[in-house]
Amino acid sequence: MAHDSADVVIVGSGIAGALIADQLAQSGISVLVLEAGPRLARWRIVENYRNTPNKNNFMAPYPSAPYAPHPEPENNYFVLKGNTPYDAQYIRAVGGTTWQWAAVAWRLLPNDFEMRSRYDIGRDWPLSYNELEPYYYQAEVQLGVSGPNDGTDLGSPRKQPYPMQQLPLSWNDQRFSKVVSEHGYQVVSEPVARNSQVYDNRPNCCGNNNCTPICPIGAMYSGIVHIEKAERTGARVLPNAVVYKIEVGNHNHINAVHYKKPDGTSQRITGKYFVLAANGIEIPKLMLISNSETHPNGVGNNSNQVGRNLMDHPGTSVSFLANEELWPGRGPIEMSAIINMRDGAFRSDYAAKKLYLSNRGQVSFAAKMALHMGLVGKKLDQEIRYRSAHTVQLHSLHEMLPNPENRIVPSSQRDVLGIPQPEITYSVRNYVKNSAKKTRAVFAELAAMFGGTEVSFNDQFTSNHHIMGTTIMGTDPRNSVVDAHCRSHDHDNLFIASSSVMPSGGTVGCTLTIAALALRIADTLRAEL
Amino acid sequence: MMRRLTGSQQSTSPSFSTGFKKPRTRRHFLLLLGSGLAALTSAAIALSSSQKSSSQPTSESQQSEFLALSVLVTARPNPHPLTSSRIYKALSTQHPQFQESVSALMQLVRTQQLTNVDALMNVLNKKAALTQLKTVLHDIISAWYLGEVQDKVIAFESALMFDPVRNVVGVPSYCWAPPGYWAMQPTKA
Repeated sequence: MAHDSADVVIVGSGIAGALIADQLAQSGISVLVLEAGPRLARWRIVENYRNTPNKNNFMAPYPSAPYAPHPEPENNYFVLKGNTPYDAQYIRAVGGTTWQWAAVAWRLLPNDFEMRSRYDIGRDWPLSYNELEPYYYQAEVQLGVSGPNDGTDLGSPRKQPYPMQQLPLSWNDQRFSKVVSEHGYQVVSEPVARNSQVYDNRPNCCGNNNCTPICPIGAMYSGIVHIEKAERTGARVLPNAVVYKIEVGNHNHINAVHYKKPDGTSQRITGKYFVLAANGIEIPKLMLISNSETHPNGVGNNSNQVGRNLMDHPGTSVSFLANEELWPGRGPIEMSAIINMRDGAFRSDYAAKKLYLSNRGQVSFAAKMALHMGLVGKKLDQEIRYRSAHTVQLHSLHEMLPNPENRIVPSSQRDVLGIPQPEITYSVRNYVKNSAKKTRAVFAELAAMFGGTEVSFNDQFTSNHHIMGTTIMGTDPRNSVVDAHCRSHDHDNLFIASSSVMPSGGTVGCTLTIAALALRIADTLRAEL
Repeated sequence: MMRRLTGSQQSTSPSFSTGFKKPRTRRHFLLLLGSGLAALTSAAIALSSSQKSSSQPTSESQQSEFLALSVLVTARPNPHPLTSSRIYKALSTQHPQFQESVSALMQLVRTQQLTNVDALMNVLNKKAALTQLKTVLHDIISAWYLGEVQDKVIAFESALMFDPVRNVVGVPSYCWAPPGYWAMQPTKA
């Protein structure tokens, strides 16, 4: 029966699975994408957002399905250990987590691929930036990335211009860039997967200022774009299919995956190739719970590295009132970054980082403050206006080292389908902490440039939802899970399409890198099928 | 292909063109039209006077009194009657004596001829016995400005907190100007 088999079975329908499904379907290869969560409709997510009381909870418009739970604030889906609470979020639904992201689409730096060789710390990638470069460009074309074509050097060499010109900067961003650059910092307009013109039948950005949690008009790229393309080209996508077991046959060949429907019944799907594309928590969890007599440590885990080396971009932030009207909230939510701390010899000692300016509107925050101050009438209105115009928020992304003690294992706690929840041990250590102290000093300096008052530092490390390292790439099967083509060292027909393969995180979001690696996997599969 | 929806095509929570209550009295009608704050204030006072004279206040008259109070404390001539009744209902569950508090506040407005919320606050600040009324007043203002009462969303796009900035920033998820608007320096006003 058609449902029981496909040439390529993909677990997970986020950006990675979607790109591979689309590529292979275009080549006439039969593809079945199994997605744990439900289908979503954009208009419904927008309505959910508008009706959410705490609009700072970006997961609220995406209720977690009990049969395919994802982390929400206070739903305790993650069982947490270690000295730093791990608060990453992702969406288990058709289209995946890029329904809501800031669309920031950076390439890694060439040196990010060579941490061990250059800085004697962390791990090297088993491929170079130059080998991945053509795929970075393909990813930018597929997603629709707008970036600077005016000669601005973002540190990652490129052969072709960005597919779209960069979006205009908001007044907030223009002023930030001017003032901060005058003090010697390098501020750039960030490359983003956000249309600056009509592109790929999707409209250009009109500044709804709501990228997270949802772009109302689809000007921002989301994985759903390639899911829809893939389905139009003949790929099949099956929602509400929670894969819970990878079945290994003779010669370590993967025979099948098994999934559960919400009613608890189970189905078996066979295929020639299997691609795990279900994010850096759910992929290792699935591999580890697929243990058996022949594979007591789980599937693909001869290295004992599955689930280990969990990395994110621990973030700190600062807010203050500037001495001029900046008016965040006009245009996209993030456009400018400070990038001169992304690389250097110091990386032998402490973490590199990227800082960025938030362009998210501050009205609700301002109103709550003003009401809390007991203001009424005209004074209330004036205070709301003042704070909305003057509030600045800056954020940081610190790189992390792959530490085997930072890991995800299956918990003894189970969800309603009886599938183990993730237990996460996560500690941010001195490599990041020492860097964060310097970041705080930079924040103070930046605030002073704007005559900042009410300077408020948030030193607590928050996740930037970039889940990396947990099925790490390497040349040595004894200490890595996949090879340079993202193929499992242990199972010749098993691939992993995810940030979970990344041996280093660099200082920027991993989405474009995920996309580039996924397109490379598609080429590898196409050559073998 | 997924239908592309712009912010303006979204059906929001009930729009402002629906749910408009037919005015009961001429003064009520003036109140809802909003022909100037002074006129409204006296309308608010006159309205609540007419309430005082009815022996058995109906739910509708309670809503009118609350609407009148809302006109005064928010200094907005046209708070939407449907939003008003929703806030009223939500605050009633939060404050057990809510109707009595609203009446007490309007009583102060009438007897002391108060014309704005600052004057009302001054009165409330003067007596410790009025602390409870001050809390209720703050909650009413907060409900109108934030569009929420106790984690329940009553309004978003029309929440009053956006009024002081509507000529500069939009309400998130509502596209309010042509693409690229954000590049211009926001006007001072």
